Amino acid sequence: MIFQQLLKLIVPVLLIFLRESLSLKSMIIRVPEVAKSGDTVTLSCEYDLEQVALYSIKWYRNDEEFYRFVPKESPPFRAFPLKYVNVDISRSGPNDVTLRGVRRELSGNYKCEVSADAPLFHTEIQGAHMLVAELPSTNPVMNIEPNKVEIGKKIKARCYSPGSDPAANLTWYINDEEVKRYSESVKKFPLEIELDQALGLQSSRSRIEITTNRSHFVMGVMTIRCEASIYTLWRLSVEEIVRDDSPQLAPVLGSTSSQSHTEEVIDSSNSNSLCKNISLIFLTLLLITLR
Amino acid sequence: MRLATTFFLSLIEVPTKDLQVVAGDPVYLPCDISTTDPGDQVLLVLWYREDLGTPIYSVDGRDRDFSLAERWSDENVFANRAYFMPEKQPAELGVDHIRESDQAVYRCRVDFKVAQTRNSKVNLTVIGKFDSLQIARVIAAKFQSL
Repeated sequence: MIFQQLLKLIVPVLLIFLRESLSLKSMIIRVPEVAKSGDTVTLSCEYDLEQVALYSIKWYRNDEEFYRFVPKESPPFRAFPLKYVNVDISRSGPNDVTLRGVRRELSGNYKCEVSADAPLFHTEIQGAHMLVAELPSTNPVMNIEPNKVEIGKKIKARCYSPGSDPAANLTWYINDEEVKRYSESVKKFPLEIELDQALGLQSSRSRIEITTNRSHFVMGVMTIRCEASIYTLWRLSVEEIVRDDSPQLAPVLGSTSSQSHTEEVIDSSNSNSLCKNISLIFLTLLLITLR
Repeated sequence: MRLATTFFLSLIEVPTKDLQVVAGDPVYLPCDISTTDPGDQVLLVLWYREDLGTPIYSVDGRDRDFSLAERWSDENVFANRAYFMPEKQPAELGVDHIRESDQAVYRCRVDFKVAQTRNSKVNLTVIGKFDSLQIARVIAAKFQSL
């Protein structure tokens, strides 16, 4: 009984798996995962009909057909005027469809449906999602308060990336090292995303608070960088430096100056001895000439 | 991050109709083949079981008038139990003597000469004879208790 029930469960899963792998083997759809608004994008569909004639290739966006290629029809192609869809006929055909100047409204699921000719009309479908991103209009902006600090004091840094879709991700780096969620000396506040209803764009804000310590400064300078990114599509960063403004401590000063002093002393003693030697030579010379 | 992008999507989905039928009864799977453009015509109607693969029923009118279109039914699925009725509004695929194994989602694809391809789905649930008797008993019991 248990075995039978198990079989009932496993068989359909296996069948689905087999069917999936069979259809995947003969067909590959290529759709960019992300594109920039304004880009020209080519979607492609590779298939192997195993010597059966092609009847039709149909391209759908969210289940609505926007392009088809039917070799027996004349002309063999047909593009449909969907809103924002601008098919470049000269760069579309049995394997590809090219969309000019994509807009973010065109983000969605793209499907390619291939059908072999009569009598069987064997059909396969593959789909993929494309996200069309609207990049921020300007670079990210950073603000650091204060930009000179005594070691041990706090620094607040803010970063802002203007409206984009999707919202830009903001990453902080201190001296080229990424600031992780939380560390003892750096407090990272959650990313704030603000939606502009009218434009449908989202701006990102992030801030960190650094309790400075000696390790933050390299030659008296700390570099803070804020990087705005949208997936792997786009990346821009802004960088500023913070100077160590700690008062020069007496013992530190003393030791360095005393060191330089000792050197001077050595020098002077050397020169003195040289002088002494020279004067000695002079004296002896004088004595010799006087004789 | 994804929310705002989906906000802008126009969500057009394949219309799906749910149908329940008792095993042994006939069923009529609707498929709209109408066109408003007088210059347009239906070329081909394909019925799929679970979206893809080889169609289980086809009406091929590409080289002739659609009323004389060539009809084909998969021997392993509906065989001679199925018959297409293009004159109905909307057109229907009639299937006699529904079996429990016929329970599935069927997709009808209509290829036009000019217009966009039209896809629609029917989610067919087959109620077994035994189940339907049981339902009848439950209903009868409810009535008696009233």
